[in-house]
Amino acid sequence: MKRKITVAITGMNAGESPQPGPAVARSLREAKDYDFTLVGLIYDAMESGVYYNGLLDAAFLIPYPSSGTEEMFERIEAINNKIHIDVLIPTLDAELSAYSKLESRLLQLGIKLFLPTEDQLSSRSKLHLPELTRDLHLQMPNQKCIGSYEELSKMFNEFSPPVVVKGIYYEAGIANDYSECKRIAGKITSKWGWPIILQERIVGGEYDLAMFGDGSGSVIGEIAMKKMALTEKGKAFSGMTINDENIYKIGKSFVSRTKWRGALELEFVKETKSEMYYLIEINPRFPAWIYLSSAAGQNLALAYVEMALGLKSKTFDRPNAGIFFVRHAIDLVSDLNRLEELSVNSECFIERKKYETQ
Amino acid sequence: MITNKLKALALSETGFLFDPVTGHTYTLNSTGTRILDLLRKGISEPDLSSVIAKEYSIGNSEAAIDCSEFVKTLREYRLLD
Repeated sequence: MKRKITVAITGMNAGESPQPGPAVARSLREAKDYDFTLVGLIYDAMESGVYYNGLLDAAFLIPYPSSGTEEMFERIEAINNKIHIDVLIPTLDAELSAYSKLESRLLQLGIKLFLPTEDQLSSRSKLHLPELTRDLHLQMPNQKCIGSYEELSKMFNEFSPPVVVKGIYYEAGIANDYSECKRIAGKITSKWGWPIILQERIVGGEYDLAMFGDGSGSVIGEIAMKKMALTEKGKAFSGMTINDENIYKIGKSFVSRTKWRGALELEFVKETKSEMYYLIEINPRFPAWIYLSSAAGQNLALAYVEMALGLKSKTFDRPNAGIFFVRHAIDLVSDLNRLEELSVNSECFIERKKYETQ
Repeated sequence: MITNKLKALALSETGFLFDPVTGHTYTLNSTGTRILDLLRKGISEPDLSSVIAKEYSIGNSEAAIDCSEFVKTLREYRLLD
């Protein structure tokens, strides 16, 4: 008989800018060694993963991380009293720090997580990335942290346009001159505030490496892909697995030296001229394209569950090159019941239907 | 000489070429497919043109120009060392 495990997953919206939750749930749904009950922890009743038939067994509204860790904890405790959660997988940047702080308290409720430590989370932030890459001898584009328009006008001249203008959490744009740079900076800071980052633009193809570290320096699984098509926001809309020893070497060295614990995505640009990989960003979580890992034989979402439960997760073989994904947006249709239950009761239990793989 | 780079390339009979290191894909015509296939079988660059001239019933000099241009293109795309 298969072991029954209940897993709660956040980030269940796969809209214009897809969150990783549906891909994580889909990976677990296809793992045949366990009988999973999958619970979506959602911030809005319209998160699309709730309406993907057969993907989730239940969904619960939770408070935004900005409401504070105490409120988050109390809500999860209440949910846990209704449906016991064995493992929780947070998938969004904005909530990772809160869950990392709550990890030991959640463990007392019997809810297990497998997250990067708070130090690891802080070291990979865009602001601290230059120090980290210097320590690890990785290449990254020159960047400056900018705290005001005055500083922006001074620092812009230190870069040869085009230059990348980034928020420290979200959003980025490419500026060809100072007026464009100011406009992008204004757009970012009006939403997220200062500081912003000015970064040298490396010309080349974009590559991603998703990995899972065991916390002692070893890699449980790794998958590298080339982004083949991008959305306007620079998100991968299609990608192809590759087998380049250089990118895997960088990833292994990163995990080994940081003793990374949990999921990880390293984003690179491979400069056309030099064929060197430049590290652009580190995301301490699964990427939205993580289903490609299960499709390629490395179920990294399953590795999370097994590591969280203290079951020894097997180390995966490197996936074959030439497996690709392309995103396909379709309309999910539902009657009002699910939306009503979520809107009125902040929770819904979903009748298990046949899992729709397409 | 067959290099690791040449060995790693995935080339189908229809001319669909995949470079597993970069993730790039290409579509070759039948002549390009044949030339790359010959290179992967270890035929040296100088011997390519005589094989192509014979198979396509064209003159040696014409074949030499075509092969040389194609090999140059492969190098430009970093598909050959």
